[in-house]
Amino acid sequence: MSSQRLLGWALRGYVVVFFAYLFLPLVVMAAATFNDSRFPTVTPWDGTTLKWFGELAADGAMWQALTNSAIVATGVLLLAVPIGIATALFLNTVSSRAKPFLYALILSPLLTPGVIIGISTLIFWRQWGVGGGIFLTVVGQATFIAAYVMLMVTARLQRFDRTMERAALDLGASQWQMFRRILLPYLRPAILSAAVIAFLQSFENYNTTLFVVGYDTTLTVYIASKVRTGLTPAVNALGLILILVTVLLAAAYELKRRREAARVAGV
Amino acid sequence: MDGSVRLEEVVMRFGDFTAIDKMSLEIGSGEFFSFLGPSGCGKTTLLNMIGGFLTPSEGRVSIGGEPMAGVSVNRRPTAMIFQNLALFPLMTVFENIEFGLEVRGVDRRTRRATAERLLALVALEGVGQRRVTELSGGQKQRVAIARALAVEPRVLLLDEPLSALDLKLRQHMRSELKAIQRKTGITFIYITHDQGEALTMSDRVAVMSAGRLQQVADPMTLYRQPATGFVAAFVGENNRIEARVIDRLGERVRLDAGALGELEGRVGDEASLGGGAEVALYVRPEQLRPVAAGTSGDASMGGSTLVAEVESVSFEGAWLMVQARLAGSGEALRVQLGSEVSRSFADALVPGEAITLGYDPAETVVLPRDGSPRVDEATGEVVEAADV
Repeated sequence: MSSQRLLGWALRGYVVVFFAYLFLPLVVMAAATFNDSRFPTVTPWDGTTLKWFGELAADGAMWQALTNSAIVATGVLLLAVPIGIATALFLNTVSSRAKPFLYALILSPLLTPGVIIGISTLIFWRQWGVGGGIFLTVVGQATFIAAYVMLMVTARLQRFDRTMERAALDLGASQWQMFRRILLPYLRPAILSAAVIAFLQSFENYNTTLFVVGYDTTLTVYIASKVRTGLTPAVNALGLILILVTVLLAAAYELKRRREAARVAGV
Repeated sequence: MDGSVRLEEVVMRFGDFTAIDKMSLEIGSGEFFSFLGPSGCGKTTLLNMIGGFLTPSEGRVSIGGEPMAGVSVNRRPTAMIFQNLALFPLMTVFENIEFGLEVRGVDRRTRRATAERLLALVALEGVGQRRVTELSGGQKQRVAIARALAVEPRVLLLDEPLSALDLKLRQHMRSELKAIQRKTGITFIYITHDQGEALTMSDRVAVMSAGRLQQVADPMTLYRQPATGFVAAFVGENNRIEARVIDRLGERVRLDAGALGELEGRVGDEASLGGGAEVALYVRPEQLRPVAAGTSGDASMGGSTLVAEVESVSFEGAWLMVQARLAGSGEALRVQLGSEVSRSFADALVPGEAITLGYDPAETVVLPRDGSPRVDEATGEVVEAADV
């Protein structure tokens, strides 16, 4: 009885330590935003201020980088999602013998260090006179993000009941009509999740981006460069805003999901 | 609208395995035709070839006189009801039924009118707006039928569609399906391993085993005059007694059944069975009637009697099923006794008791022994014809 209780307390303690490990750095970072100090720190506390938000708002280069990141992430989404879907559909049809090989080939960009992908993308496109910039960043990131999309779509595709396809064709649908009306709606949740993941993966990418971004600095590259030129709590303010936006989006998604689950269960 | 189906020497091979072995068959327009056979006999393969999901290795399939070679699934005048129904789960009932019309470019109004009419046909009005996932098993079944009928097929292919339903619903859907078939006049090709379904609904039944046709006949002929040992054992229950032909007079044969003595039986259209032939006599459990011991049976019954020892008796309500062993050979014998036996007679049927049984040879069938079926020893089910 008492040993069981001990175990219970130990588990609770573990959970506390675990979450502290995860979130304490973020809490400290967030707190530093309000410190009236030139450096992002909480010790010593030089007084509470909101001025770093103002400074952030006035940082034109940061806004440009944020815009670039959004453009790149949208571009990656538009490129990687269709490629990932097509690859998943293709892999689903090939014979069993070729499948593992093709699978490994398509997943290899995920296992390749991002730096290598960045450098090789740059070297390859240089041959054709294309230098670093937004276009190359999109292309470089999409090579491995498409593999994520493929994985997510494949996971759902494997649970697709192929008799649906047969039934649709039997009722007179063409392959395209079957895809549009049956398969695509079925894959929709996986595609939406994959699109979100693709966007976020692109947004947070640094190592590949660094090599292909040219002069069109993205947000991660901009923040990294600030480390060298002198970091102010304005970066913390940016971090705090990003965290809040993420939490809000996640909460909204969860709410919507629960409401839908309740609707399905209710009828 | 000609919904006849013609198979000419159709062969289907998968690698070294021959699933369908040179099958020729004609199914009339508007017929309710069933393929009956154990799993793995090739009946699903056959249905897939008619529907266009498989291309035969050899031979021809034609529907309504038109050859179907090169005609893809979505252009055939057939519609299939799948075993798992394959309703589209993300769509409403209306959307499911209208799907075939939608892909043909039929306008929304006409589509909806057709769907309403078909829902009425399958007795399912008012559920059009519901999602198919909200329906019960029987309702889903009806939606699947309506969806297939919406495309106005000349031939409806049904792949064991009732197997997922519980017993009561299954029996109800049998008569429902038969009624729908009569109302629409569409050719129904139904495949099943359930002989009850095949016998109750069909105009004709083809019994299949190991990729070959064993017999094609109307249900009553199939039951009363099985053409092969496989059919005799697979359709309904049968007692099988091995014997040798002594002599023959027309349809009547006298048989030497070894320790069981001399028995009589009826030969079907098997002309080759002369004196000395190795045969099997098939007597159905309900054809066996108790006779007074020591007599040579009722004169009207032709004089054949069997003596058996009762092993167990189970009361089934309308009848008694007696499990017995033949005195002499020790082989199992099943006897079904109806309301003609008295209560006192039934009460006397205790294990260990001897019972003497007679039968009318005209109701039996005598078949060559080599065509006898292989029986799965674990389940007691007929697996395939022994000659393949």
